[in-house]
Amino acid sequence: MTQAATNASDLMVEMHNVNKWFGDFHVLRDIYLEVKRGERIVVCGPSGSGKSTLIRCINHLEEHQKGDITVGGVALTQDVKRIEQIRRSVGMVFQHFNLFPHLSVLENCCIAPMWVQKKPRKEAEALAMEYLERVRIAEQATKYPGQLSGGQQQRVAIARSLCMHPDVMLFDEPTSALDPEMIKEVLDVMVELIHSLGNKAAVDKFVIMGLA
Amino acid sequence: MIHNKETIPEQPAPKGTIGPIAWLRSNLFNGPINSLFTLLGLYVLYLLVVPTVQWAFIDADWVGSSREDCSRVGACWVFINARFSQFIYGLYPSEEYWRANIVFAMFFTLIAWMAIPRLPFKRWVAIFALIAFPVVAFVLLYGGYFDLPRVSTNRWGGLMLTLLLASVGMIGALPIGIVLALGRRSSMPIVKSFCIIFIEFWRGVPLITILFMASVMLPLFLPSGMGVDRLVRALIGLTLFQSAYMAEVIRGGLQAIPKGQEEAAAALGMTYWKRMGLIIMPQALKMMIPGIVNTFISLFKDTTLVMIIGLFDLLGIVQAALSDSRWLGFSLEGYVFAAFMFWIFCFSMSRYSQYLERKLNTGHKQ
Amino acid sequence: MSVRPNARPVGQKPPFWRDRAKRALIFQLLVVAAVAAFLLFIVGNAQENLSERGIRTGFAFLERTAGFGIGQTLIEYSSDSSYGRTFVIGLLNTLLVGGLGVLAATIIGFIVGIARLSPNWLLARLANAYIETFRNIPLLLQIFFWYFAVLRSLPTARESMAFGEAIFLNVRGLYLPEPLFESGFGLIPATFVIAIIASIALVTWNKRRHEATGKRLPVFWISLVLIFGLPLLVLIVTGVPVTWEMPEMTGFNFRGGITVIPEFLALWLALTIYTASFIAEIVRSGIQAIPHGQTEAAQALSLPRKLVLRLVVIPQALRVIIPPLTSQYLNLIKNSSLATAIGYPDLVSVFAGTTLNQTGQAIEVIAMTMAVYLTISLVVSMFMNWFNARVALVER
Repeated sequence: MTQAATNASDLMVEMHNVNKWFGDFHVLRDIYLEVKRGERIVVCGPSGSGKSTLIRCINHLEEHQKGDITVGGVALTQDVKRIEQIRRSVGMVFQHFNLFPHLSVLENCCIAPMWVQKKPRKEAEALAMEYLERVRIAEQATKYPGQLSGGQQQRVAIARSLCMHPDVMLFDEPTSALDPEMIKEVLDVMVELIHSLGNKAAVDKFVIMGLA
Repeated sequence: MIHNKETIPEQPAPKGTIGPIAWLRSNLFNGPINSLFTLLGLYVLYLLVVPTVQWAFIDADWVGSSREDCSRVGACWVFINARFSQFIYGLYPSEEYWRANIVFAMFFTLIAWMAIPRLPFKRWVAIFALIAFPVVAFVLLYGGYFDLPRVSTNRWGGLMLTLLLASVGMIGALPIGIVLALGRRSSMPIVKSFCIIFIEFWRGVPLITILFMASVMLPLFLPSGMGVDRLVRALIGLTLFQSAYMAEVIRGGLQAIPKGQEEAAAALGMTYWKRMGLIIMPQALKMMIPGIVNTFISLFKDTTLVMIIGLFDLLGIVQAALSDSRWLGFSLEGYVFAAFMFWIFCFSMSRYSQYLERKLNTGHKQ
Repeated sequence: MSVRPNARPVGQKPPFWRDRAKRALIFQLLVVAAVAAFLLFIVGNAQENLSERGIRTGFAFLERTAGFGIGQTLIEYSSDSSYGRTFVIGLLNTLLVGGLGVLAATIIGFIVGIARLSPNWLLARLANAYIETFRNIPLLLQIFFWYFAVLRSLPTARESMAFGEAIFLNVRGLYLPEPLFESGFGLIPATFVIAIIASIALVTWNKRRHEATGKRLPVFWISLVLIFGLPLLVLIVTGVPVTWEMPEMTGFNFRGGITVIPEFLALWLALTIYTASFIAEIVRSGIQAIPHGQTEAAQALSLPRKLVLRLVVIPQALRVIIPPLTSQYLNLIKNSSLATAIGYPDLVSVFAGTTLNQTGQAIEVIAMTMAVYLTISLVVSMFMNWFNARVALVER
């Protein structure tokens, strides 16, 4: 880092001196991470090395004991309002998809825009269909997650998090739970998303992306 | 930009996050509402536990032979002591207790053998338990053979009777339940309907009406003059009642076996009974065992109802003892004792059932 | 050249004892014959035995005078009433204790079940202790405990435990004031019904508005205020047209007001506490059945905690909880028949007990009693099947 003034508003995720313990086990040690707008990060490492924990600390699904995390200029503390504010600008795709089985694909994508961003249903549905088409699964909009394959479910999960227009996207081992044939379809979607931002990146086990 | 090429050494967790203080903070005093609940909980515990311990242990009287030995401040366990053998054996003549003791010993040995995981020959023990043991137990308890004096069933009671009712009910319900479960899965419409009607009937009515039916209506349905022992009537009612619930447990176990198993067996040329006996049932039985233990626990608790039709199981005999004029007013001690006995049995069985379920879940990946 | 399969030409039938369809038919005919023979046997014996004892079959006995009193009657009854009426009285008493039991057990069960999952260690352990204690003690024993050990040791009428001047508790029962409704009172329940309808309309309107514009009003609190506040307002405005008949101590006993007999109290307490322990277990396992990932996904979407519960966790949990829950309700109603043991005049105690003993018409009486319970079971089963079909998660 030779440039003196990295414009603060360019920093999407900042982690300074972050430490986390699970009981006695020191899993995250003095983590220092800065992600600028538009950057893509891949976190690789052996299993058990804390990759998932690191990513989950960013949207407070895990709590860190020492250090500071700032997302989009908002400091991550115990304050519930701050946490929800941060979560509104961070989207997450899980290893096990975690789609809501009692809601249709379309409803899965609409639920957060309607209840958090208070969008009317028509607007939310139009937005959802747009992203469902981006991930090439628009024809399944009225189906339920139980009727879809793993690869299809993961693509819906990606669309669901994109519907909130997050500034940061977190992917936690998005293809680990998929059969080999389906990994390609999900990776293709992810690569295309990255492409649409004009830059190429290597997509491996994890990616932290800052969207422009 | 890489800031650190070496692994940072491990550091101990900050003081406030581990250790007993941290545990207290996060589990008990995690915010104002939780702290309030904790304090309330402690207060409730104080209100409940202290007087109970005071009554049951500190002020209680344990030794003695009559009610004068009871100070009435604490619990009068003298009452329990004095009547203890009655609570266990009912009105069984005391010089014949040895016969009941043999049956008790065999019973618990058999159960322990089946329950402890690593003991061998389980199949033989099971066959013995289901077929030979009932006969041996009957001969020992009833007598009339081998110069053993006869003890009529009117005198059977207490814990002995409770265990007997539950076990016989279970053993009898098992074959009937299997037949019902298989019949319910059958493709023959009449057989299937009969089984469904039979099962839903016995499951839909309260046990007490079944016991009434058995004790009042059964004599009517038999040729006039033919009497049936009161205990046998209760056993018939309990067995039929239990068989319906067993049928559902067995059906659940059978449903858990993937259809492919039966298809593979059929493709190998096995007939219906061979398929069932060699392939399906052995697998299903393993899955059913927690369910069977659970229905046994229910049956064990349900045996208390026989006191309403005049049999003296553990609860019945305690209740009868409470109306003895020599021991009036100790109903609390009597009920606490009976509750404790039942609780020990039921709690242990339910723990065992949970242990089995955990074992099965890890072993049987779907 | 085609290879001829080595098969029998179609159309040649196997001998009938190997034909699957015929075998099934014959087997079923045998079953029917066996069942019929068995039924004929027992019916024949029954007729013989009954005529020996001089008992006539048929339901004519229902019109004869009962000649005995009943401790709790929800409708008019005297010892001149018919046996048929005892049936109705018993049935109403069963439904009363069953209904109130279901209500109380659900409330306590849900509270204990949720407490069992609390992050507060003490609360969770206390809830667990409750569940493990009351689940493993037979219900009859619990009924005896409340009736013989607890309620019997209440003070006599002269030294009743009093709550203000209105409620009295002693060994003979619980005495409550009875409301006497005056002429203007009909307005209150009418207002209540109107408030409920208005709330439903409000909720529907709110949902539509949410879909259209994204905005929501806090309808839950508004409905609550409506449903409880409006009737209260009307009550006050009409000058409270209710007087209370207080139980009064005359002689050795209380007169007036509503009397709740100790048999009812003991049965209701035992049923509630026992069934609540099972309901708590059902609620706990229902909530735990929802994978933690569901909560995390909802949180990652920035749904606040209340919405996570309402939109994601509870809908899924209810699907798992309701079938075994209705099963427990059915058990509670069946278990209420234990009333016989302490003399609470429920259906079994009054009809299959006293009436059967007096008339000797065992078969009719027991058949009628069982028919009631079977009907209740059937209705509950049908509801459960309908519910399961309706909310089933759609899968491949």
